[in-house]
Amino acid sequence: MSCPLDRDKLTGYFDGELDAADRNEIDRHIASCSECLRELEEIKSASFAVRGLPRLPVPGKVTAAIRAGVSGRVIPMRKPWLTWGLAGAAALFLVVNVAFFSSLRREESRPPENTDLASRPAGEKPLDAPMTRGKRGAGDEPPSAERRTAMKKDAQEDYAGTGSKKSPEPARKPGFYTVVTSEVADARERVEQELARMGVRHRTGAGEYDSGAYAQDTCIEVELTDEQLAELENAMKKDPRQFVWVEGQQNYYPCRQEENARDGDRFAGRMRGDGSGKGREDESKRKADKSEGKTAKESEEPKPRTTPEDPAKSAAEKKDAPEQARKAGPRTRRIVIYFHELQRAQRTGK
Amino acid sequence: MADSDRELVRRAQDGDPDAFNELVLRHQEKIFNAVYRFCSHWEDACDITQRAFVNAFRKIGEFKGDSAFTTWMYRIAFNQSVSFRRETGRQKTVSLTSKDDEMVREPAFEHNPSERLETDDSRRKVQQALAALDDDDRKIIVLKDLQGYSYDEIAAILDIPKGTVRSRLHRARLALKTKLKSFAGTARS
Repeated sequence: MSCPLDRDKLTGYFDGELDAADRNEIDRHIASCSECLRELEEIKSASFAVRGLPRLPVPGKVTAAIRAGVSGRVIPMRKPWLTWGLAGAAALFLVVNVAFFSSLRREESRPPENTDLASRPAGEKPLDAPMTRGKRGAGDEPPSAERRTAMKKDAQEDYAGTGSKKSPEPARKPGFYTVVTSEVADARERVEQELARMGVRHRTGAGEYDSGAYAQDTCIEVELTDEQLAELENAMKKDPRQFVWVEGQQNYYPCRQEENARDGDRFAGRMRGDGSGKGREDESKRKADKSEGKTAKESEEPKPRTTPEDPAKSAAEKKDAPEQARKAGPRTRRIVIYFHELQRAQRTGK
Repeated sequence: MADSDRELVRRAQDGDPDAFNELVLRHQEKIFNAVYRFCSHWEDACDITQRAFVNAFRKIGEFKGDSAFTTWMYRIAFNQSVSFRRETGRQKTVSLTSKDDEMVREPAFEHNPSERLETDDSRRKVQQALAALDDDDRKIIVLKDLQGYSYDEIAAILDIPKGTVRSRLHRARLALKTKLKSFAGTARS
């Protein structure tokens, strides 16, 4: 006899898109229905196969072609009345400017009081210089190709929120990974063991679903070099408990420090430097600091220096910066790891 | 703090090209990957992605803001993919050019060469199986399993009810699994 269950619900169950009542129904059902359990496995297998496909970088020629396509454009207008309104305003602006500059030229025909050009403030352009848009760099010329490349990198870094505008290296976005597992606690413990072995500090937080629900201890944030990340990935993939390591975030919002700092009730924010599980003291301290009006940053970060900097010393320090960077070691980037629980039936041991 | 998409769209509508370029930088990777996995052809994906964004720029004045910018971009990109295929008469097959091979190669953390080859081959089979699905099934799998969108978000992008998202996704995944099994069976024989 074929199973009466609405099989679509198995997909909703797998994706965490069922309400509690339906979820419980499926939990009970698959405990005793091998047909549905098999179909659930098929769904899982197909989904993971696609999730395993790598995310590919955009070829530079695509970005360049888009930019070229956009630059040869007519400025889009929203509505006809807006078009006429803007055209009228532009015409008025032109008339006013012509009148203004005409009156200036009449003034300039008189001998100036001070002809010493050196007295003009540095950077001040002559009044009859063509107007430039505020976003351009210094000078009246359009930005050079080099400047455009630098501007693009700045925009990318601003979006990524990493690096600084002065960094010569291209920004790398934080990496998001998801571990899909039937036992979140086991998987998290494995990650923490590996990080402790590498001597890397991390923080644990709450992963938040699109529905607004959240789950404690389902998110780890850490700074890793590429080599460390590769070691971690390898360890997770080779673990006999069959953790599935997937690049990309699955229905979670990023585990951001600044967001979590504002929402103290929801974010654990524990620092577990040695994987010992100590951290509740940190949380209670954070709550105490919050009640005293301190922000998360103030309570965690060291106090800034108050002594004025010696210019000679800071110049010497800047000169040594590349050497110091070499000694500091390879560059790390922020990695956020989510833990996605999968098979409730297995978890309950049925 | 970076401007929101909504703010960037508003500025782009007011004629600020830098604002649109910022939108491109933010979203081109996800659009490109969705298009590539949908059309299974590297060069086509490059052309389609470029056309989609240029089209979006030309029509930015029509964007009312009642959905997310990415929702709108995905619609444009998928429509562009279908039009492109119609124009070029391209068959829905996986291109096995050397470029595609390079692009699907994993970073070198696998020390066993045969393990890496197996991964490349299995990924190619997954891409083949995806390409063998019909357009609706392929779109929904790309949006869910590749891009990680929720059912609500997918419903908005594809303009279908949420219940249809679930049923279509269920059907699509089972179809994909069947294709994967048949490719595996072919390989063994």
